[in-house]
Amino acid sequence: MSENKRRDELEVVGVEEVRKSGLDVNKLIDKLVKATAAEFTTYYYYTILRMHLTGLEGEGLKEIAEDARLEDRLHFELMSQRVYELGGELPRDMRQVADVSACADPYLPENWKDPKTILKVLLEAEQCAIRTWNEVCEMTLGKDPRTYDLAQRILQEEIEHEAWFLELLYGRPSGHFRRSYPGEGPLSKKGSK
Amino acid sequence: MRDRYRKKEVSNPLIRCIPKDEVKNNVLQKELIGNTFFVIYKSDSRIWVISPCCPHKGADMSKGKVENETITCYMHGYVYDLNTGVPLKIPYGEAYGKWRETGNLEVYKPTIRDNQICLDLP
Ligand code: FES
Ligand SMILES: [Fe+2]
Ligand SMILES: [Fe+2]
Repeated sequence: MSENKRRDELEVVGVEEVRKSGLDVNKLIDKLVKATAAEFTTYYYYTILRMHLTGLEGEGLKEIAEDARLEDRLHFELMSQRVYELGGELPRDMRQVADVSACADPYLPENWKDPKTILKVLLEAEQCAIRTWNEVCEMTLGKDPRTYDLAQRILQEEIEHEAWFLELLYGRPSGHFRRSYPGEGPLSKKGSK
Repeated sequence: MRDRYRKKEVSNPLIRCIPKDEVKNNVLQKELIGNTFFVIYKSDSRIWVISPCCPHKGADMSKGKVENETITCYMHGYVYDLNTGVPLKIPYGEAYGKWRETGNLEVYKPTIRDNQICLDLP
């Protein structure tokens, strides 16, 4: 192979096979970039939200918000690699990351001293993430096993995150018990099975 | 999903049709026409054909909700006019900057021939 071959002239079997399965690779990349950008923005905003879970009540909530925050970072890292494998790229300008994100910025609410308002913002972000990764799973099922596998790992953790916040807000049991260590990412940590 | 659309006229391969009774009433139904997915919504008196992708962030419009000739996207709740595709409601304020911008939802004008819903594909 000539070293001067342009990147777009290379034969990439891993992408060709996805294309042959009938998937529109450009559409998939677009969806993945938006979904991956959302993981990065939530990681950033969750940092601020977690900082503001203060007071006696807040102390217990911090740990759960921290798990969700760190796992979103894992989600960002997990899917970033796939975007490049498929021939796509993340926005080179940080400013665009928030603009293309699949989910709205989870801003700190005005009356943040009431931790419930923060939990509602967290819940809404998780629900957007579930819808987004579910769409990626639907799009790739039976067509792109690698993206499907990564997306379903993320989706499973988003479903857990939603259940945690639903429990904290409304007392709906989630089956939650603390992670082994903060932000464990039982399914999304690289090397996890 | 199998392509249930058939060429209406052999002389014009760009017209694809689906029997009207294969489309359920009052349900957003995603269908492959040629190589492209569309979303069809049929009420007792009207039929709309739209793009399956929300112009905001690309969510699946077949998961939306139809009411009074409008469709609400399930992802962020934007409301579009089913007849023109124009956004009627953007639930997020200026604080969300460029993120909240959207275009028009793509709408297509179907014709009815011999009890079939037909699309003239470009
Ligand atoms: S993707 Fe449809 S409203 Fe945002
Ligand atoms: Fe996430
Ligand atoms: Fe999450």
